[in-house]
Amino acid sequence: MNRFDDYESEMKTRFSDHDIERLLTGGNPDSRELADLAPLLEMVKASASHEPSEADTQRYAAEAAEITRLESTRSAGAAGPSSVSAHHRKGWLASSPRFGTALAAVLLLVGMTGVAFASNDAAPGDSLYGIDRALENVGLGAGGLGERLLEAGALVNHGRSAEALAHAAEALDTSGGEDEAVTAAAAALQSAAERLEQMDLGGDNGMEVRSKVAEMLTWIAGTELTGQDFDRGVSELARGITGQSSSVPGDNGNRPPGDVPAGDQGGRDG
Amino acid sequence: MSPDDSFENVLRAAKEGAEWAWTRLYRDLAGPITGYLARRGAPEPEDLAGGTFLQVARNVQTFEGSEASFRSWVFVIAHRRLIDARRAAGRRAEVTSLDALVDPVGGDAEGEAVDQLVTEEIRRAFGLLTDEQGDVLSLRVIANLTVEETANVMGKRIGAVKALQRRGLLALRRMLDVEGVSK
Repeated sequence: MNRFDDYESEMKTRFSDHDIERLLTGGNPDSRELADLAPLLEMVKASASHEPSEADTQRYAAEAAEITRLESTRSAGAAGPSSVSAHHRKGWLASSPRFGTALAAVLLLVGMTGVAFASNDAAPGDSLYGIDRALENVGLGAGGLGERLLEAGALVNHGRSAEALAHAAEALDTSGGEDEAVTAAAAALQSAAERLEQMDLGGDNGMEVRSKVAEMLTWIAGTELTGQDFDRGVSELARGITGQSSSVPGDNGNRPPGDVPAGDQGGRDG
Repeated sequence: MSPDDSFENVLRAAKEGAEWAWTRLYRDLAGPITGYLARRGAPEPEDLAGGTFLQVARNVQTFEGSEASFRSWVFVIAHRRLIDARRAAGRRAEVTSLDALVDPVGGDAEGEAVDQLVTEEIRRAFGLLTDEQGDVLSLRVIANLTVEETANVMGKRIGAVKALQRRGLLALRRMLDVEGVSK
């Protein structure tokens, strides 16, 4: 060990900041010891080079543009008198009943029109206009889980149901903190997302799944249930999405949208 | 860059939700971000990079600054996501993902054998580094960040970053000497 300590001490005197900077910026250091590391670092750099695929580029650029639009709308709405109240129904869900209404409006339009959020110029008469108005009316300032659910709604809009579920799962997991029920609900969503990835979501199957995912997101945003009741509701809806049997959570007026009866799961993809 | 392609214009358009601007930013940033995350052992580097990019989109309205500071800011987000991923996985960064990334150029068997040998040495050498040493060297070499930008990303003082990179290089140098590689 002493030999290594001595070695390190010696190297410290040889490795000047200037030489290190030259090595790390692709130059030629004066020190032979450092210069010998150049091929290694070049290899590291080359091995980590990555060219993004065109598909990923289009996908993430479209989604980022959409998020930015939503954020802009949210900022505009938050300045109004109807900003979301500080009422936190679950503590971890920074939202209000009106948020659920806005999300429902968004998802309803998604379901009815399949419209993308790409336009920047929504005007009365456009399908996008209703979305803008819904967001403005609610004064979206919720942040946190609420925004993540909206993003999940946007993914549904793009026909990316599995990713929407995974996104919602991550949002719940992040927002839930140490709430075990919320963590369990997140796990149920993640499991459903993984199951969806294995399913054929073309044609009517895909539309049906999208509709159910949208309903579930709306339910999460609007329900007053907490604890195990919340977990049970999410889990049952998640199972319904993937075509597994489910029953309606006994939630005293906070039943999942559509009041999905047991056995009415509409085929393999839910 | 032409005037229309200036970073200021791209950023302004991105804040307004212009898809072309986000395409430009993604093409510029996705490669180095993914490379950095992969090199540092992120389990799903492409997905983590995509998540980083969407987080940038969520917060871009709050950003004001130059292209260099934007790049640094993006890596701050990427690095934090990497830390979160490590915590979630409950393990330190692994360097084994390097193998999957290496794509030797050329088809000659001798060249590929050399590449494999070097790759193995990299893997073993970087395995000697602490997470922070590896993070610093990767941010400097792969992401091309300056010492100051790296300090910003890691939330450390510049002096601390310099110490980490020095110790990291010493560890690499020692590895080469002990193993008799290089020269």
